[in-house]
Amino acid sequence: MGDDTCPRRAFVLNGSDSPGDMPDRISAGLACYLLDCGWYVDRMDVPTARIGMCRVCNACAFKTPGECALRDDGHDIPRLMAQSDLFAFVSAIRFGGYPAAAKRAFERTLPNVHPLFMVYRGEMHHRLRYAHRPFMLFVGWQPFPDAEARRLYTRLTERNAINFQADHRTVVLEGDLAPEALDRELAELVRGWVQ
Amino acid sequence: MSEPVLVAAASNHRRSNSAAIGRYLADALVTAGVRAQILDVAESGGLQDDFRPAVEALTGHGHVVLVASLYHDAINAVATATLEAWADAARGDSPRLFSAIVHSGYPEPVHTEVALAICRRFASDVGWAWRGGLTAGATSAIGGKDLRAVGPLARHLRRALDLMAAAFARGEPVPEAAVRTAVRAAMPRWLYIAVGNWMMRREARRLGTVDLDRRPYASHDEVG
Repeated sequence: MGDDTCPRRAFVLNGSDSPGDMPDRISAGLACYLLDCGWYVDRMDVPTARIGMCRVCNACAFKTPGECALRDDGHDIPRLMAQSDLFAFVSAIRFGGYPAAAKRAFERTLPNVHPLFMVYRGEMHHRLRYAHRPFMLFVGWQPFPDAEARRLYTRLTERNAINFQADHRTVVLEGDLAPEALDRELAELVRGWVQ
Repeated sequence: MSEPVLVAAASNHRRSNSAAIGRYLADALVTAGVRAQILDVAESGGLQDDFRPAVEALTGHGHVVLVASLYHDAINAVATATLEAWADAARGDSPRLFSAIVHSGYPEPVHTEVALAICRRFASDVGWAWRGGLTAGATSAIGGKDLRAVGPLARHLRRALDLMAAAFARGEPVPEAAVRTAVRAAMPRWLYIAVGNWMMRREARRLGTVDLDRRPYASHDEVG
């Protein structure tokens, strides 16, 4: 995956609350920059996708290992994540974490987690189903600078990356960014960290 | 004097450990002389994205306790949506007291720290007074059962909840003794992992799992 004959693949999970809000604009801009840099980009927009709640039914552990039993758009999230070189998760920051709709989408990555346990970095964790680990990019947005929320969000994304045993980068954008300002932020992000 | 307490158990599924913990706490509160109501958010509509019962249940309760499972390092999506519904309802409403219990199948407290901090931040954002919280690990052993029926594996958690209820009855926040007791390990981690893996494999056999290690989305360079 990601060699001279095969373009690198990105999955942008857009955890915005509604079309046109800042996380939605960030996701769209990020996807565009990645395309411009030669990436193949899959994108799923939470506001318009059918993503049911993970019911912790354990079908993905025992009945159809690695595959979700729910047949909706969320069913594709584990595949898109597992087959990507870059998994980008964009959302607003709410109470220092993810908004509920975005969290619901992220929880649908569970099929990529193996039911058996191991010790990783001195902690108990689930094993992972795949040896391949996409790089995880977390982009959080909040309407104004908030150091505590930023710190919580950064810690949450760090824990997510540990659970997926993945390298990661967390970026927090703040304020109602004008298109030019957003372009600059995303250009720096893609050129500096993703390329 | 204590406020009436709403214990809201918010999980992604029915017959949850959150509900079992919540029921025990509600009973402990009543035993301690506190008016308490238990609400199972999943059963009352949360699984169908209906959080009106969770909002309506706030009425008459000056103290709210959220009981939620850890899922992907934060409180689960139903619990998050519950907080969002309460946040919307809290605008212009009288401030309440708020506490939280976050539990996880993993034994180490590091897994639940951020989730509890998110609950505390929620309280700050909506203007509710934070009255402390508990985290508890290795709660998979509860299996949705009555906490008293779980036996020694839940002894520290039961003790912590008793201390929590007694403090609330005195009008006090969650005491440090409850916090310390809740995170005490009921068994060594190596044993917990070994038993956990044994139970997973047993469940796989019971369900006739053909290939527990199946990788349906493996790329070409992961196969063979």
